[in-house]
Amino acid sequence: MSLLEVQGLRSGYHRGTVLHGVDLSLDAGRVTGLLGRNGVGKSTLVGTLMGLVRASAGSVLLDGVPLAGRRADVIARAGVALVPQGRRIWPALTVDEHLQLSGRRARSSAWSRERVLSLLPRLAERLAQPAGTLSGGEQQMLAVARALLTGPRLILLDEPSEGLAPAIVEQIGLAIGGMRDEGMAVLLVEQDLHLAFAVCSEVAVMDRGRIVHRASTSDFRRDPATAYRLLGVA
Amino acid sequence: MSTPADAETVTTRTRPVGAAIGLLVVVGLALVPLFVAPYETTIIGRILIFALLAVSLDLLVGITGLPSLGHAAYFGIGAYTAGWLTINVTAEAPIPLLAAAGAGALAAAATGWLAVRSGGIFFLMLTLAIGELIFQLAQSWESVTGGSNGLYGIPAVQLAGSPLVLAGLRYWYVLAVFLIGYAVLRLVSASPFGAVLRGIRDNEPRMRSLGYSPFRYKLVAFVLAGAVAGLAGGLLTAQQRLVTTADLGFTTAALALLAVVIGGAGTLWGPCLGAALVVLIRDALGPRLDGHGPLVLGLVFILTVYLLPRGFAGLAGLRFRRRPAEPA
Repeated sequence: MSLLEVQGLRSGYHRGTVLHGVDLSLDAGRVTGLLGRNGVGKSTLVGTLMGLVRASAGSVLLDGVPLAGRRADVIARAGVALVPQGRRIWPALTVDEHLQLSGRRARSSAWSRERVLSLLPRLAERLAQPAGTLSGGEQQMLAVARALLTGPRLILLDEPSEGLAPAIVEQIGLAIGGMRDEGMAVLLVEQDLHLAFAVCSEVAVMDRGRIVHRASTSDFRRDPATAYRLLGVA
Repeated sequence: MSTPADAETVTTRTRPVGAAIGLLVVVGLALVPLFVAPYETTIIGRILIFALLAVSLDLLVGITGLPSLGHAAYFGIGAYTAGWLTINVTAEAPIPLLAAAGAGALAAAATGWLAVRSGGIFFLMLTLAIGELIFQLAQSWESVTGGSNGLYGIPAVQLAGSPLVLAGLRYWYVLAVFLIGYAVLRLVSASPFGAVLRGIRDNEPRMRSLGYSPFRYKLVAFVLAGAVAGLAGGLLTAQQRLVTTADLGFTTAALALLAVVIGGAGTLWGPCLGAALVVLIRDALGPRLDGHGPLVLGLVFILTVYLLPRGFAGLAGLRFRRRPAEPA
């Protein structure tokens, strides 16, 4: 059985429905890329899985436990973590305070503070620094560290490579590999296909609020016609 | 442009400087009764009481991000509780004060349970309504509060059986309790709990995503702020030995909020400066301004908002660490 089972998930905002019945399953120890053009509902799906956007219908089961419609803090304690688009760190808090805050409500997991800092060593050099003064790449690493320290079984990464230099993107890719090796399920929303193809074992493509295509990464790469039809790239 | 290294240097340099200034201020305040006339000493004592109210409000406004217009209610409840207890049970310190803090906390727990579920303008309106409700209750419950005449004839507070009648002794009593209340809030602000509150203030959904239930933290902050406001109310009773409905009315709540904004929300020490300015203009300068004190206060508020958006505390440049200018 998959770690996460999503069936018929619908949600949206006061302006209207964005997700029109998403079906998705994610396995532990695998990285799934969530691809799609702008505005198809990728971030809304991630927000709904995290409980930040209210689900109006459908079911979300994490290891058999129903999560749809639950509060974000309940979902986080159940083992789901989010690295949001735009990082959303607290500029006034130091790196150390971020790590302390994140670890305090953590489930027991292999992601100790030392382990996270060894995976993202740049943060260890910046512990006393206010997060608002970090570079974009360091802020992204902090957002990843913050999510890992909650001890998740499923991590949702919303465009972690956005606006980052290639060297930093490479480090983010390595960190994602570390999460996979630890047995976590990873859902990676990504516009950077190089990163997605490098770390994902399979891809799911969204269009107009639904998952419309699912394939292993290697099959998807061998099918440029489908990639062009769904993503506009060959 | 400031670099991360600059930021660290600023933070580490300002800490000992801030501590030294704080120590000097405390020593200066302790010496007041020895060098200042009793009337002025009483005014400074009133500033300390109002400052404690403003600091407790800052825990809500500046640190938790909950701007309240009803905080004077808990101040007034503390004042009435201490007054009633001093008249009817005992004037022995610190019993009236502890009861005042307890009453403030209880009232805050009962009302905050509802209020902290909302946010922004809804929270502002709810707290305003709660404040008005308690004001009306104080007006109409004459057998306990004295209604519009207020609670008067309150005996002087006693310390080890000796009544604190002299202005200087009363002032030291007020100063000691102010320092305790301020220290408690300072410790809370610097604690991991304070970091959670700032996290909720800046990004509540993110705190939820880390597994925190913001409701519980906001309620605890609300109750703590109510307890310290009640403590300040108890001090007011000890100092002026009279409580009226004006002490828990909208004007007091608005002036406390004004003190927080003028002084610099989120710093705790900034609102103390704001409170000093408010009390000085209202009580010391007001009578000489032909009753135009509120007008001057309004002008000061407008100038502060335009020229010092972070209040007086922003001038010191110490707030960098807690709230940088630009969010990332």
